[in-house]
Amino acid sequence: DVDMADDGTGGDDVYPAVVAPQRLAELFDTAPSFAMPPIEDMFYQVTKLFSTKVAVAAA
Amino acid sequence: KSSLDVRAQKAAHSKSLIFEPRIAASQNFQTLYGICHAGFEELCQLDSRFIPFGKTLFSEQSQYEDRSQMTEAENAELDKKTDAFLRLAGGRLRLMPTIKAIEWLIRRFRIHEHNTTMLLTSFSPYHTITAFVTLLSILPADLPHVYRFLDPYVKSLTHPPRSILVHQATHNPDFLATISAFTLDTCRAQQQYPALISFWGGIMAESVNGMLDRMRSGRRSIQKSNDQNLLHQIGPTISDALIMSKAPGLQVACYMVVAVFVAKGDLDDAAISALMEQLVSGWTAESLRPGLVCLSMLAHYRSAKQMSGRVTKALLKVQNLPALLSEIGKEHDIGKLTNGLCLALIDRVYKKGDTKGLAIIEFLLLASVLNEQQTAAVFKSLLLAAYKVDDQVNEQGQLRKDLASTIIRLSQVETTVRGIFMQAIDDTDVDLDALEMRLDIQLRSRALPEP
Repeated sequence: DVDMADDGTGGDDVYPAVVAPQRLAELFDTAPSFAMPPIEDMFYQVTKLFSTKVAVAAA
Repeated sequence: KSSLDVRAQKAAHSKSLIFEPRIAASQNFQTLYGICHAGFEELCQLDSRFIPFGKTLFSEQSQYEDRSQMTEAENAELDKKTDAFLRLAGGRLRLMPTIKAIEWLIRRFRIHEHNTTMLLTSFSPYHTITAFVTLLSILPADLPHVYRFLDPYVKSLTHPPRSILVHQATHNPDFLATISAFTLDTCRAQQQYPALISFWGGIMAESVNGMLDRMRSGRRSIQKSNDQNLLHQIGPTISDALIMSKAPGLQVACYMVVAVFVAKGDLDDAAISALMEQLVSGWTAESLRPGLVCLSMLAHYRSAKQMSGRVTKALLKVQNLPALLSEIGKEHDIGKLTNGLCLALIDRVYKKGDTKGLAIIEFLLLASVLNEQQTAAVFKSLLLAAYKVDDQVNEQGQLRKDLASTIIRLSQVETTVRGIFMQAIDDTDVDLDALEMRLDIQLRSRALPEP
């Protein structure tokens, strides 16, 4: 049988993201709530901060 | 005593969002009504949803309504109307007409005393504007428990910085629950506005991040129970927000919170799977793209590989899914989501005879969204499916033909993935001779005589 689990993304190599609270605060502190960029932009900025792709590149 | 009463009444009457206390104290309700009602009328012109309040909170009759003379039921009704008005007015708190209208509710119905929590909550996204400090200056000395943390700012008459609100949301579940309930209720009433969504999403994301840091424990049992507590605290809010299709902005804000929660918290598969299913059951055209990105983050932290039936069905309904995924894949790691989707689609092929997914699989295998191992695994599963497909789901042999032509096309591509496919063919334990006969195709290249 083909090993269906053999996809190289097994749970073992997925670690919780390490993001300093200040970095998240910086995203939201740029403007008051009524002058913030659209929520979708904020979402992408947050995901970039927390995605492992970026975390690896930054290391 | 009576002169003390009069002085107290005068002091109370002097609390105003607009006028100096000395001037406010001298105003009668008829004068005030004139000023405030003009603001209310302007609001009605901006948004017709304000009009019904003209028959209640802003009626001619309201000039003569005294809260202390009303029954308990009448007071409760007044509270309800006030809540509804403040939710609707929340989006326009930086406009003078709104402040004038709220001035009426403060002067006539003393909402700063009777509805303090609601009033402060509706002003909270605007904690940096002057009107917020003015509001602090007229509140009763004894603030509701949930807003007690504002005491130093009332005393100094300064803006509370955002960090204080985040700190409070992180450490006081009641405060986070208060602003969450206000936000979700406002969305349910279809009265949401961008400032509120940004405010809630930001505070929620940061406080979840902060709570996860705070609850970090070296002891596994404590960590486990902390994780459960947090899920218990914010899970219901997240679940409600995810399925609120009529408020796509709230959904996107919630995806932001979920992204933080899943990336940093140690959620178990059951919790992640539940979030995935809620997410896809609620998304709409407007929240779809960020929804897919969030879904891919959830998939990334789940140990189970294959997408569930519900998630797969929802993905199949998305128009241009393969193109959308490959576009998203340029910026985000969607490998695990794509991999799980492909495996689920292959499952549908040989269990249900549903070949709709084959074109999607073919596209995704060639779209560079999967890593090498994922690509090999999906291709192997395809071979295995072709081997296992039985005649029950394959009456006319069409299914087998479709599978065969997909596999042939893939094994003939001219890009670097071909090497992965060839290796996968070599690595499979499937009897290739039997498979080639079954499918009536040739998978392995043989030395052919020159024509």
